[in-house]
Amino acid sequence: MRDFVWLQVVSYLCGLVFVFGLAIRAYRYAKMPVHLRWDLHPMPSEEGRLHGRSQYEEPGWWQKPRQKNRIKEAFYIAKEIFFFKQVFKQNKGLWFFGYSLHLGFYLYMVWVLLLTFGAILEPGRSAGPGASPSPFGKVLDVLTLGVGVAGFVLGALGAIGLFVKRMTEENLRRYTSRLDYFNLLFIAAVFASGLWSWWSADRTFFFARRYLGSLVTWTRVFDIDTPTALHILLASAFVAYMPFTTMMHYVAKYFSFHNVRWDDEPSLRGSEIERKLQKVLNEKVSWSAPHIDPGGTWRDLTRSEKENLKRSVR
Amino acid sequence: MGKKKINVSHIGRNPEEQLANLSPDSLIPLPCLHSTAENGPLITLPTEEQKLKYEYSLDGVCALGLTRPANKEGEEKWVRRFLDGLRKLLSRGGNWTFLQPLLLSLESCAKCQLCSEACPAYVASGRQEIYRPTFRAEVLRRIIKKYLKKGGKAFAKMTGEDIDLNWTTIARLAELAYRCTLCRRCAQVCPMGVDNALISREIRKLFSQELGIAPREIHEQGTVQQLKVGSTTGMTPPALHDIVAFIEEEIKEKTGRDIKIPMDKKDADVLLLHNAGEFMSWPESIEAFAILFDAANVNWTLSSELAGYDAVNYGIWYDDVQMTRVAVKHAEAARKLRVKKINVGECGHAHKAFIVVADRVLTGDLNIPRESVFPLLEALVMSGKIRLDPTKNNFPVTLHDPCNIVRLMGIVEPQRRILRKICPQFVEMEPHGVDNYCCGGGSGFAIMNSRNFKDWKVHVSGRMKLKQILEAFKDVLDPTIKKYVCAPCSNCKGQIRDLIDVYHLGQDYNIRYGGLVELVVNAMADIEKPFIEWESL
Repeated sequence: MRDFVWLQVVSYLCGLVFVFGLAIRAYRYAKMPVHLRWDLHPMPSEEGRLHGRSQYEEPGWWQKPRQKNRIKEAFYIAKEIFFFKQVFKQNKGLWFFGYSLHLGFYLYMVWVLLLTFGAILEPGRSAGPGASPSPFGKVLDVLTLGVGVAGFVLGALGAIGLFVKRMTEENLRRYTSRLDYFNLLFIAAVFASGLWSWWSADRTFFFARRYLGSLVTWTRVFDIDTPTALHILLASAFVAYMPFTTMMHYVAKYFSFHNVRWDDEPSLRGSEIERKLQKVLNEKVSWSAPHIDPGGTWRDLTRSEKENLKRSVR
Repeated sequence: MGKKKINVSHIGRNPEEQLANLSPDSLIPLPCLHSTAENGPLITLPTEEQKLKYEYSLDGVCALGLTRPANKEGEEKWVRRFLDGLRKLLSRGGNWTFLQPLLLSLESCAKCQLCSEACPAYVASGRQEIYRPTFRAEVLRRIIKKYLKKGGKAFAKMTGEDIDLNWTTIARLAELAYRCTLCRRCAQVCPMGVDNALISREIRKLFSQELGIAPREIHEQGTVQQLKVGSTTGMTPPALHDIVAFIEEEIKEKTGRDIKIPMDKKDADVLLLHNAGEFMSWPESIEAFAILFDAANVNWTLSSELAGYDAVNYGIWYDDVQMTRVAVKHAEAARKLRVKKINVGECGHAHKAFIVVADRVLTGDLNIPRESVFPLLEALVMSGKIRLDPTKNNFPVTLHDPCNIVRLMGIVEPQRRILRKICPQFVEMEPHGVDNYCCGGGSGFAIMNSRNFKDWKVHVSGRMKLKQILEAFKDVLDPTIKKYVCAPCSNCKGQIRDLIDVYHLGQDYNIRYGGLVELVVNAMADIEKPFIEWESL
């Protein structure tokens, strides 16, 4: 029996690197100082308003309650995440492969969850690759099979399609680096190896389920066929690699929309924003152009004449 | 001349060759235009003397008047200073004002190029590569990766994202930052939330705040002059009093009404903050507001405090420090008068700067309520206090949406509801509202005329707007029919004035332009003579 504990260790480590990388990136964005407003319309959360209309259409807007419709906002986000609406509207060719790739990822994640559920809920099935005896297990089997294969096919198709598109369309080629091509090939390899593993050795995803089960239950796993081992290795490596690339744009996207584009929170007197500003206004203005006074702070720039007078009297 | 195949890495190479050559053939066609404006070279060629003195190597256009350093040491000094500025731009202390938006845009572009087709300058230019919204952003990204990250040089070679940082790169990048109107159409369509217009603005900021490079019209004649004498127009407080007296006389002559424009009135409900360009170039707008507010008994005032009579804040386009200084002066004027609120007049960038962006630098007693004048105008028009006769405005009217007011602030309907009520032949441009096209004069271009920059803003950045105007009036182009482009923003008016002038739209099609409030006063039933004087438009 061949022992695959090394692969399990690799998977654990890669998972840890992913969590760590994701947390670092999200923490870095979240902890950035409050910035000046740079919002953009339309905003999907603008309650009771038509396309792009804001609170500033109201006379005395600062005296009125601000209404935000989080459900509308959630719908907008869901349409973006699950259908790539903006891309579909603007470039259907790019949408086809881009959407295919991302749908591949979503299905892959669902597949991993289904396998894990299967392993946890029916631990006895680890004995062999046969069909599940229970009706629930049978449904799970069908779902896992469909979702997994569809994910592999769509992911590989999307990655290869985007690779070819970037190679052949000049406006994309000019801005595509070798690293971008490598990333697409890496993704294609992950999905293609999954497909190969399923086709050649693991038609019921028995081995994949058993492997994920072993990771959850901290038990050793033996005898994994080569295609499946290769797929696990590639997928684990990709999981560890992704947080350090532009492929983590979904984290940035959250902040780009919520903290910049849709951030229309006014700094009213006594507000939380005003409190945060008190901190950053102490920053020195460190720039060197002739029109900038050396050594001053942002507070010096923003103080009223009355406040300046009070300070000088003190 | 045909288009050359340009890549990002070309930015620092071959300083003797332009990266783009613009010609009339390369631009998108315009509908039904008989003008001879595009015969001959599109961009005025620099004189030999100018060519030797200034940088024209980007596209044959010179906005900044940069001069090549005399020697290698001089060039290295520029590179060092540029990198110092770049470090500050990417640091918490140096750039708390825009660090998060900037880093998010720098770090999440998928290079899908969906933004390109949204950019009026890129499309109108015939898709010149250097005007693509991602081009300048990618230049900055590559410089950061190569020169500020550990192992950057080797990594740049390995990934094929190499770039040279030298004087040519610096000069072309500085110029390139002034080929974007900051209209933010690109940001609106980006599925990632990347804002290439913000990156343009931050590049401008680096140049201004660290290297002291900015267009003269925006910096020396703009914010510096405003903070020193009170207005970017050079108008001092005593000159303001003279002009206001002249405007009162004009009102009397046009309407027979004796209206005393309130100046520095304490405890007024409204401080009206005009773009000072209106006093100089479009006094009819100031007159119209005075007539309307007087008729509606609005308790209002103007200020003659330093900068308190000029709403402009050019800092919004290039410099956070100057933006803050100007906004503080505006708020200071209001604080001293103890007004209840400030209404920003028909000036797009002043809306965005004062009401939105400066919101987070105006704290304590300077945090005074600020709002747009459009909701107030709408309230007056709809209140029934003023008798309005729409038949007095019975000519085709189209509305230009200033980007700062619609896409950047979400004020879309008040101006439309007014026009629907008082202009029976109001017709929309397409697209409009938050999807509008910039007039081409955004981000300071309307006031930038040095060397041959005017050619670029009229023929390239303003081309989409020109196309839209012609299309909006396509069924009524007959020159016997007078037509009105309503542009409720001073800078947009300046740009549309130049478009109309250069393309002879006044002579050929009888297309004129003006603000919104003039149409309201023109429709006032109890003013006998038409307020709008077509001959002077």
